[in-house]
Amino acid sequence: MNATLTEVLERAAGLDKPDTGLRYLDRHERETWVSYPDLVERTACVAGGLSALGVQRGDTVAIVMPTVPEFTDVFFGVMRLGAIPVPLYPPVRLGRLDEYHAQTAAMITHAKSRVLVTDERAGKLMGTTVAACNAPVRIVRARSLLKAEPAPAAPSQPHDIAMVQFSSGTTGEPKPVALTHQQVLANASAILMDIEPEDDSFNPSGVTWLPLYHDMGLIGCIFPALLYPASLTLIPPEAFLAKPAIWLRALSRYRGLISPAPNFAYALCTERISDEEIDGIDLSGWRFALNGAEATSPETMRAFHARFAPYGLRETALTPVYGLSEAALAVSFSEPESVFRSARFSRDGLAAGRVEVADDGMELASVGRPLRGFSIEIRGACGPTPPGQIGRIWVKGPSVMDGYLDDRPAPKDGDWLDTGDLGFMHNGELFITGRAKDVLVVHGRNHDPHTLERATDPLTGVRTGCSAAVSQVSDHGERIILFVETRGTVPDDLAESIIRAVRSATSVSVDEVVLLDPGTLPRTSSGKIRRAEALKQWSDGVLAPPKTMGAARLLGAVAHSAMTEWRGRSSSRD
Amino acid sequence: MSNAEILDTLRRLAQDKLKLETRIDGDLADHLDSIQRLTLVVAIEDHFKICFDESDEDEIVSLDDLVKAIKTKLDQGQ
Repeated sequence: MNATLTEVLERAAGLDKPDTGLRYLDRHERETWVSYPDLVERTACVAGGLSALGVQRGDTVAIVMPTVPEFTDVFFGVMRLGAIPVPLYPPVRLGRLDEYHAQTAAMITHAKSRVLVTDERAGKLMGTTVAACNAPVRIVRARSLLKAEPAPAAPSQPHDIAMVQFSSGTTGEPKPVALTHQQVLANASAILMDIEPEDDSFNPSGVTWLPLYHDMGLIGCIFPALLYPASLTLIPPEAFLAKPAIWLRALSRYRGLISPAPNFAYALCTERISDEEIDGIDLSGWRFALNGAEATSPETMRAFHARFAPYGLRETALTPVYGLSEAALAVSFSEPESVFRSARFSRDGLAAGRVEVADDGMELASVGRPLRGFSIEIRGACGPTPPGQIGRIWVKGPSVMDGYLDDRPAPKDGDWLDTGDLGFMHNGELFITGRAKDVLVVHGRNHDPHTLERATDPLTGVRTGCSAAVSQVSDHGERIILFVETRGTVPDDLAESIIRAVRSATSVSVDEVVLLDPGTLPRTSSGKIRRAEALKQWSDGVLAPPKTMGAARLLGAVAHSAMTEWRGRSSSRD
Repeated sequence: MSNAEILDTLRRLAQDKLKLETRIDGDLADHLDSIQRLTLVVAIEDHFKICFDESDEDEIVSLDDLVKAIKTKLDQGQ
């Protein structure tokens, strides 16, 4: 698409469609409506304010804000100036903040931002964050920018960098993915191609509670809404997590046609929403309940449909999708408006990298076919894999990034991007089996396994540096498993202590702790732990300590064999 | 409301909203993941009709700290 996001916003504002715009809800479901013409005016003030502070075309501006109207004012205001917005996540509530300050400071440093825009609330903590950056960063309140004199839109080109979003990439360390206007709009329009309203008189609308620093919230919801243009209802993520019913009520009240979420959100709704909370809602207008950003579970989707079918939820609404930040967002969609497809595959086969349909195997949901303009290739070590084999998923398409903002090499081969995910094609559709890269995805967010592993080191009974955190795609979605080698006397509650220590350090809940004898984890020749191999051996039931024995066990074995030999001799003498 | 009453209410909220089987003792971050902490803080704000600032939350590490913070907010008549 040959336009910039600023032009797309101005076009939406100029169409004289008063019912299109952004509707922000707060925790109490009170609305703040921002029409697209209003949004343009507000972004002009932000651009004026930033310009007065010396922000120039091409500069990056960090944004740390919750889901409030000022977020979009600032995001598009930065863009209006030809500068580059870098949305970052706001502090976790009641969290340990040390980790937050360090991570956010690292991201600001990688993005080379000298200005950070925030709101009153998060702003109180940002001083500590920027103090940890390696260059001075000016903190600016969004409200003060909105009081500035408006500035005209600076000329930008479709191939200019529009925004930076952080991805954990092929390792856990956050990497700034630079995306051009052309790339993000190509993705937004590819998403829209699958989504046509049933009748022209009906004005489609979207609903989202996804955080706006997440690709699925921004590129998957706001950009398509602008491009269409349609209205979009935005719910703060914390409001959804505390009261999931808010999401379904908003879908009913505003006749939401499309709303994406990670798999865990569907499970959360099924578990936590009571009938009283959703009395009288009508979900029949919800035609695209996209399920992506983490492994999708057929069981979760069936349970969600069974729970909410009495409220009009269509079985065909549940749509597994696949994508990644390096490709802006979406890569494949399962067939719209048909019941999602799944198949069962032999667990032994999957563990060995082979695709074998088996009635008693693991059920995986298809994430469909590539979006228009995208291609998918499954590759092994020596190029494309033959059919029926699992390999790394490579993608090509109009929204695949050119590279990272800093000078780190992109995982690309020509136009092809290595996603780091593993999967296979079956009947022309993509199935995801896991991750080749050592990244854990929990609630749609990526985590570096090292941080989980390090958290176990200080505990009594844990062998320092000898843990492996892995994620396993199961029938119930993605599970986090932590393999830990022990030493000395092992306390009875070690597994429980490990779960607590990891949660404390990373806010991640480990699903299973596997305690192992020293030396059990498979290692490379240089001694690095091979996480994927550990998971494979454990799944196959062959994860075992090496044959070589420790001194104590060796002595025991010698004594045992000496005793056996002596008995043998004495019996032969008898 | 006394500290003991606040503590009781808190434990009940944690059980109802988070389906926690274990009792929270010591650091909150050891017992609750990020989503659970967020759910709890929103439940507290709704229940007690109070509103925490990020800077208040910076001081809250243990359940006792949380009780004290709620007490302060209630006494301020928020």
